[in-house]
Amino acid sequence: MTTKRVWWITATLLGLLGVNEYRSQRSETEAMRIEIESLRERQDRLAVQVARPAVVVRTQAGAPDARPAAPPSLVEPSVAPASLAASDDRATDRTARDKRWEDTARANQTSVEEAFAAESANDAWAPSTRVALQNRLSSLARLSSSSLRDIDCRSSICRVEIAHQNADASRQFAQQAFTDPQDPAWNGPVFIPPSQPDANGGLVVVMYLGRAGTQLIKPE
Amino acid sequence: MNKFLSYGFAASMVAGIAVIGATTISHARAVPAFLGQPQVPTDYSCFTNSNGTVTNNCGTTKQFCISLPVDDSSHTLSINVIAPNISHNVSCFGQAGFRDNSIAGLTGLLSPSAFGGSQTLFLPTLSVPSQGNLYACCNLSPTSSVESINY
Repeated sequence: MTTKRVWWITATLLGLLGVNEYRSQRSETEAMRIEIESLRERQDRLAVQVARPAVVVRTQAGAPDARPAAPPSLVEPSVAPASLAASDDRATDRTARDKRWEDTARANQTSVEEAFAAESANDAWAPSTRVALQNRLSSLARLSSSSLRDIDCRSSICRVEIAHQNADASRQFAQQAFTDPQDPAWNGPVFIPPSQPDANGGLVVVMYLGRAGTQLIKPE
Repeated sequence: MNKFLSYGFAASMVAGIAVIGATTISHARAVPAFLGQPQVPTDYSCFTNSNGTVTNNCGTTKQFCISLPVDDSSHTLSINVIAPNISHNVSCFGQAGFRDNSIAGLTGLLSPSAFGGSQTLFLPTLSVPSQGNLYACCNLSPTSSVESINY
């Protein structure tokens, strides 16, 4: 092999190496350009999220509780725009579903309260039922240091008002009164709206007790 | 021909309305009893499972409860049970709870009046408070079973 041929081969190899290096640098530059574009897009999306208005969350008592939207994470997980849109849709669905749930629960409460208010007293049922309830519930109330405030029976519904020292006492009373498998204090439908705080730092619980075989809540 | 077309159009309208109604109103769900657990953990060995049907094989009445996942308020429970006879009966109730698990509603106890085969107990409708929970519980006397719950 002549020296000239060796030089030609060496030069060719060096040339190929150079071309390869150029291509590699070019593809790295291209990848960096794409990454910068992607970061810009993410920055734009984050700016849109920060600019969104505060989310209004309705509490159980019904008072609107304005909360700012949670700040977006600085390190956003790498997700495609399509899945971001799907995630937004799911959040919207959840909010709509929660609102429908809350609205129905409130409508059910109103319906029970109105049904009781519309009833007149049935003399064959109301007085004896009231006395029986008074006897059972007052003894149970003493066990949880609660006080029975009022019992009003009409034709198919009794309204019971009771004051508890705290939520634990309220829970204990309801379990003893209604879930005893041997001898529950009432064996018809029971509806208990959210409790209300009283002036002494305790809770006032109102319960609607329906006559056995009746419906308190209208089926959908 | 025109008559057939108009009947077909009317039938498709009715079917369409029925489908829309079904997708917007109906939320019926069914779960096997095996999704539940004994009210008292030490009673686990009393209950046997057969294709989702849970039977009490102990000598005394035991309570078995099933937690029912919900995402809306009004639920009418129907519970399928088997009581061998009147002295080995089943009584079931539904219970709705607030988010803190305090009681928001109860159905009252119901028992089957026919024995030896599968019976459905139709319980009064319950209102589950927002973010609350729903349970079905059955007091199972020896050899009685709870099969499934629709709600």
